[in-house]
Amino acid sequence: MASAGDMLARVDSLLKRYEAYLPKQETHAQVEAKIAKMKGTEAFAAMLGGAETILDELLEKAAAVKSERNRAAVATLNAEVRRGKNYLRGEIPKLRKAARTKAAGTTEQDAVAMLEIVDDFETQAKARGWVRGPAATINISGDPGSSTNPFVNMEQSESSEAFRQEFEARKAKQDQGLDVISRGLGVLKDIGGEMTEEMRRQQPITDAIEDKLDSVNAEIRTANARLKDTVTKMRSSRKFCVDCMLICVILGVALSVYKLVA
Amino acid sequence: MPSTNEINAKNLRKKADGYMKPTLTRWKPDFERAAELYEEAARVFRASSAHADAADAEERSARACELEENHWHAAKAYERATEAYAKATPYDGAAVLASAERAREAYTRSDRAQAGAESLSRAARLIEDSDMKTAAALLRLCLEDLEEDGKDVYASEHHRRLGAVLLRAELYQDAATACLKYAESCSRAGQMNSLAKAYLSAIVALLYDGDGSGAQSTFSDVHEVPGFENSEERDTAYLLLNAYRDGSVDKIKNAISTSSCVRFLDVSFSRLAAKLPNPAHELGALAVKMGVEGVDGDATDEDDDLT
Repeated sequence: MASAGDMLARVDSLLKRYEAYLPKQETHAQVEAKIAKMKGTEAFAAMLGGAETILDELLEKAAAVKSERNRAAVATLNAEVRRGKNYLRGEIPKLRKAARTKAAGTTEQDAVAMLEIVDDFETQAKARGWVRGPAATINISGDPGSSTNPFVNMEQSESSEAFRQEFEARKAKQDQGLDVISRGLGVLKDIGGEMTEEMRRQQPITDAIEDKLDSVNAEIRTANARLKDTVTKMRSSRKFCVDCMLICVILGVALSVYKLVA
Repeated sequence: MPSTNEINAKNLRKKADGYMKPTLTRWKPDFERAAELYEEAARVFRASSAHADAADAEERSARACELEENHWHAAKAYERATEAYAKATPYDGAAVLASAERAREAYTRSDRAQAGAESLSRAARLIEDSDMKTAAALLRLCLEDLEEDGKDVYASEHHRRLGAVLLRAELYQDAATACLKYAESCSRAGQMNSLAKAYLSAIVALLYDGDGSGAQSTFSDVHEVPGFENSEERDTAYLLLNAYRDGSVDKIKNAISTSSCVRFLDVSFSRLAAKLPNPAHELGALAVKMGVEGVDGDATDEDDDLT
């Protein structure tokens, strides 16, 4: 699978091989040098031709701006159009100068004719609204809620209108959410206050329970000790053995009596 | 025709009466036995729904216990008698009150004063729906006892109940006074949250009663009390009073609905607040009166020369 880099390399090599057959592209500098060498009407005609070509190119770019959707691309095209305009603005006085210079072979009539052509050209360019007079004022009055408008006289396009609406809708939703949060916080605050008061209420009760439990605990321990003491006193282990033996003796006697009788 | 149960109960009572006096064979009365028999008789009376007789039997049992110096059991018996009086037909509020007071005295004698106050509150709960005036009286006694003992911490439940009972009886001025007392009790117990709510409840009750100038003077009295001073309840009260002074129904409703603390008041007070302004009172006249009072201040104390 050939990649773009490969394609480009192959095209370059092809071009180099068949360089001799390619039409000669003259650079702008070469053209200007040629014009400088030319004199009279030839120079004027060459300059006019160059200027008209540039005018056509700028027209094409302006048409492309209208149909371009990408904002960055629109900005780039606009900048190129502006540059083109500035260049033409510089070119027109040069054309006038070239028209006036009296070189060998130019007649008065030719000079007048050339000046007329230059004026036509200027009118043509102006008619398209490019060669501006005084600069237009920049519209800084931004709509509420949006940032200041840096672009000159830009109408609300559909996309910016939709963007503004979406922005407002999202803001409203955020406000709703904040309202819900604030209500929730109010509830939490109330619950917190009630809990504090309840704990303050329960504290003395808990203290009283603690004291009572301590005293009850002590009493139980005393009672246990006394009980143990009493039980030990009642029947000590030695006496317990004696008791057991006596019970066995009695049982034995009873058994023998029973055997005698039976 | 008395039922067998009733006959049994009467017999038991007669037997118990016998034990209360010395006989030839027994030279000292046997109060313990008498008390037991009376209690048994009361139980049987209660089973056969003869509540007046049950109450009477319980009272006798209590008296027997008292003679035996067993005040705790006497108090319990008096409480049961109160319950029976509450259920008896025809209902006698005075009897309930008297019996409840006796129970409280018995508790006090057995060195359990707080239990006595609680018993009054329990008695009030029995008759809350049927006899609100007596219930309120019982709760007031309960709160007096707790205040004397310095047990304000335990009093909030009873205060709240008193406020609710008075609102239900539509005694709004009394309810407001009860709220102010509640707030006082809270300030002693350090319960700032409830204090703020109590003050707001008092103002709401007064406004509902159409006493705008009363509400205003209450606010001016209490707005600097610590606990209420920096609270949201104070802001709500301020907005509400302003709305009333402007005489604007919308402003009043707005003040209530946008307030963050009205929903946390006691249920009865928050329902009352939702009904403000009271359609029974003329808002315009009220606003004018409040405006006059607000500008000149409350003139009732100006004549008191304290020199």
